[in-house]
Amino acid sequence: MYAWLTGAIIVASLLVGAWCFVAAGRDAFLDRPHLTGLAVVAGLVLIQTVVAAVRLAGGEKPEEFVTFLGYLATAVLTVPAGVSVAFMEKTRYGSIIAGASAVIVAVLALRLWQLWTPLQ
Amino acid sequence: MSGPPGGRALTTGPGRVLVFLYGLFALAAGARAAVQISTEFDEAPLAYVLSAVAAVIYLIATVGFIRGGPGGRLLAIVCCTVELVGVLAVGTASLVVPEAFPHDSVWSGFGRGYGFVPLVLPVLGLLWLRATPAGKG
Repeated sequence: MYAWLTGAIIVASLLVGAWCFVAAGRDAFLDRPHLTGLAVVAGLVLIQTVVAAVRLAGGEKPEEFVTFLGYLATAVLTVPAGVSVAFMEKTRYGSIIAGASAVIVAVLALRLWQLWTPLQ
Repeated sequence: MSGPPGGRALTTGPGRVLVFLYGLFALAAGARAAVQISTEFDEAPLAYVLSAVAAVIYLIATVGFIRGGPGGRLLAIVCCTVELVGVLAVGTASLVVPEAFPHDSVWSGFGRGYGFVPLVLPVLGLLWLRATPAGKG
């Protein structure tokens, strides 16, 4: 859990989410660049999870530990789940689902940071 | 909105977005309520029980949307209506009698803690149920 990594996840997921919504606005399903962007978001979340695992193993413990783990697991699964459901609906609505999953990751990243650093 | 014929109209197009969001909310609200009830129930029993009730209703609504047909539609209509009444009632109560809600529930402050999605979701659900022809599911 580092501020820069949290910041990168929030910025990337909001940008990719907005980009998916632009595709939806054009009545289009996602293209390869959108999927690459979603993969980048999912990858950043995985890096964050590894960082959290290492620091938890090192003895650091966030507030509301169980909730923290729940948010972490949800953050890892949300974009893959969103993209999977999106591929069942290869229309503008699939783009909305993928975009919504990215925006949810931004919220989860913020909540994880709040739990990790109670002084914020 | 031209969904495929048969009983699938409710879960295609915008319906699929609804099912995804409902499923996610059922999971998130349910998991959060389970953690809160098992670890700190005494601190805010009312709020946590309400969150659990909300989670169950989200789950039933999700099932209703996925099943479709007259039964599924009825289930979804009832759940969306209960959600809308619930979020409005609890939202108002949490503002008028804040001491009854020392900790946030899903519906406190009209779902403020969840980006007002709990307020928007049942409205979208009911609009979608109205937009899809009943005969098609």
